[in-house]
Amino acid sequence: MASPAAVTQPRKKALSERLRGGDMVAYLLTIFFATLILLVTVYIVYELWMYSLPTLKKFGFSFIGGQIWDPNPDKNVYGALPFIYGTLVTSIVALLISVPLGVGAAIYLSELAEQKLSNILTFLVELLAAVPSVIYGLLAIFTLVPLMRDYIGPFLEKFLGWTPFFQSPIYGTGYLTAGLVLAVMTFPFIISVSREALMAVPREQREAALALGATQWESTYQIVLPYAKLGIIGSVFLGLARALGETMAVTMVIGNDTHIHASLLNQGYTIAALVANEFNEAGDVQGPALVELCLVLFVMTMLINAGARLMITLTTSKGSARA
Amino acid sequence: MTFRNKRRTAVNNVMLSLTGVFAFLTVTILILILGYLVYNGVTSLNVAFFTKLPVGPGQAGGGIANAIIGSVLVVAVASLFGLPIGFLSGVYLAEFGAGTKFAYVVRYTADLLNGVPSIVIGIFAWTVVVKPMHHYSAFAGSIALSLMLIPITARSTEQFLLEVPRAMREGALALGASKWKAIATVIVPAARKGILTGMILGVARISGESAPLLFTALGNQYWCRGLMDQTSTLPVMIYKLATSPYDDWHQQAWAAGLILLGLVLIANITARVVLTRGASVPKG
Amino acid sequence: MASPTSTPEATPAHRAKMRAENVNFFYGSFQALHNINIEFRENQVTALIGPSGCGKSTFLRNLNRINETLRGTRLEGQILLDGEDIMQEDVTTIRRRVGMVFQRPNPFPKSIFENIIYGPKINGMVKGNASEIVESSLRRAALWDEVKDKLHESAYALSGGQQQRLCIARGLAVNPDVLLLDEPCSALDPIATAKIEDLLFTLKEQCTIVIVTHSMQQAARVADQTGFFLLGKLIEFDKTDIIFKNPAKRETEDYITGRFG
Repeated sequence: MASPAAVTQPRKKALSERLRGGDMVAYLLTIFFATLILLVTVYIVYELWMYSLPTLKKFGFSFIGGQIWDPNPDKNVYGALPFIYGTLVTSIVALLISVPLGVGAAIYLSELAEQKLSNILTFLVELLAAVPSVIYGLLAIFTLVPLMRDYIGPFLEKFLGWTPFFQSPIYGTGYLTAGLVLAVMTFPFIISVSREALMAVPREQREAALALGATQWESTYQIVLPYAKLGIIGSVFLGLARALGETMAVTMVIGNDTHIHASLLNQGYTIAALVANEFNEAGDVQGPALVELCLVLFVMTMLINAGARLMITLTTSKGSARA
Repeated sequence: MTFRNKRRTAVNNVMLSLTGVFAFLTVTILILILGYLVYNGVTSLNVAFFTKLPVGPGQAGGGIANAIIGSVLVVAVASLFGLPIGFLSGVYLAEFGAGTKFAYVVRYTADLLNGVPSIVIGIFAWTVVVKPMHHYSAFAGSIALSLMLIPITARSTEQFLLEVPRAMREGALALGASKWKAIATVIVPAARKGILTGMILGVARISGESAPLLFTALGNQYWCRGLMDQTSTLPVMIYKLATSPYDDWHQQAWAAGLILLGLVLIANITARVVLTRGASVPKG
Repeated sequence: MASPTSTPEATPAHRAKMRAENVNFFYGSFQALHNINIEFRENQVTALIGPSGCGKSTFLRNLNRINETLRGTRLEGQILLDGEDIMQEDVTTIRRRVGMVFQRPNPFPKSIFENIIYGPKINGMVKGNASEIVESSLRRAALWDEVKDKLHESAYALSGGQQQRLCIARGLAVNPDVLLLDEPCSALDPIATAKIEDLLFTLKEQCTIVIVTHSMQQAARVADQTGFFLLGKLIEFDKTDIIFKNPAKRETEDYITGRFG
């Protein structure tokens, strides 16, 4: 009789003590919600997968390479290529503009500007990152689109029309317009992350180059930039991931054309824009096809984000505290 | 000076000036955006705009009151879920789970979740809330937005908790406080400004999101009758007004855009300047 | 204006290569250097000693104008290289002619070869003879034998002492007239330190050397002349023997004998 009690008594006491102290409760509570983040993320992938199973089965890999998207009940054919193409083209156009601009600005902010000015400008640039996507779309529709249609498009066609990338028709909306909007939306990220990567370069590296007779530009371009390379590439990847998944602003200026065009002045479609426009009225096959597109988009952005974060962690020392 | 050095100096001057031009160009874009929005939006602002329901194209008057109320409702409910969950997860990451493999996995997952395109979050919320319930609702929109808010809050909470000096933690523990008591009474209060900043920025961010609401809160011509009713929200309303073919709706889009941007920027500026004096915030 | 310091007798063999005249230096409104007058002789090693914060490194960093890269700094007075005011010359040329080695080894994250050839490349000194430049620079820094088989490996694979000699070799690769060393051994162990001290004896055949050091033994061993800095002033400047055995100023004696602070 006595012996089982003697064994259980201390254990009970320990548990109640631990509960009274509250550490165990707090631990369980916080780990529960932390686990929730993990589960939800896994669940998102699972749901997307399950919901798109019908098209995964029906079209297989030909879905990715298919060029025809026809939801008419008599056709019901779905191919993802025009949207993957549009997503990639608009994002690449965006990066071609925002990377030189963003890295250049970051160089100014970390290497040249007075600390105070640098902080103020960085603050303003980070405000740009806070502007909602739909606002960019609104502005683009009424400013960039007419400019593109009446001036920039014809200008580009006149001088670069001999290449396949700048040919009529010119609508104002299209790949290039969407790319420009995305460029404005991505460079705040590129600037602020690149600036931090540049500022993490030890002062001695700059001085070593300068002491050998390098000009400030040579020291920056040949020594400081390569030193911060990984962090800068990471910032570019972050920008790219944002551009790929960006929905509203692009939906408003991409032109909604389900065919592939070589000319950047022509209209196109991105994955996110297509889903935004068609999902609410989608039929039984179209719906899963759209969700499968989301899955494709999800995988693309995941890979890029994972790569970006890895690189940023490798360059900025305070690894765990860095987002 | 030799020709070679003259050339090097010239390249140096040109390139360095160019970086300055780029930096000011980006800031100019911000100022242009703000200026253009104010210029176009301010004329359409009046009391009715804040108090009336939308009217059809061609009709005078009307407002976006239902969208404002809808946004407040959707964002408030999303914050109700997102902020506590995110906060507690952040406490786990910085304190209870510090240094563990599991915390590392959760941290990485939170970053991935933060990077999931918002439209995908919208689709997910549709499959788990709208589809089983068979109707669109403000609630579904809140779920979608809270999924975006959780990782943001978790990571910013973690970051600011980690900045609390070690001496302060050890001081509390040395007095015999249990771990959670030290966290609740010393560590979290020490980081409260930062944590609050992270939360405000997170809420500001989701307030501007429209993509996750397209298939969840949907939209509504009239007042939203409750959490389970579909509702209009500011961002989605702007999208619909801007993409319509009507001039008077475009005017309303400008005014609504001005309100939305104003709210978002005020929240950002307040949080950063007043609370943390320009402290760096998590990115991405 | 009368110079507050004595100048060691000039011997014809060692003419003055570099000279500072009435140098005052400010960080913002704080004056870090007060009216410094000193000269450095060709093929001689000059050591600058003094307690930390005395301005010796600050002074050194003015000799190749690297202080200009810090914000809010201001220099008054003249610094002459071969009789020419360095402030009037092209800054990159001055920095090529006046090399510098820093407190902590700071190789670039590149290969050993690329580290050495970087300076000659930007200064347009490479004309198909890159390998020779690299070899001769590494030989001059007594590093060649240790690294000749791994020239294309990362400079970070070297030990701290080797990295510092690599930085010396990198500085020598552009054939400087003057080599400035800013406490080059402060991050090194005694053996690596000894190697660098030995190196200075051969290097002074090729250029003028100015070394800032916190170690009086080091100054006594390697330097021909020594200057003692205190609170931003050059208290005394003379032949090393005299500074250490028979200093003229009370402050110098206190510092040398360890009675200081």
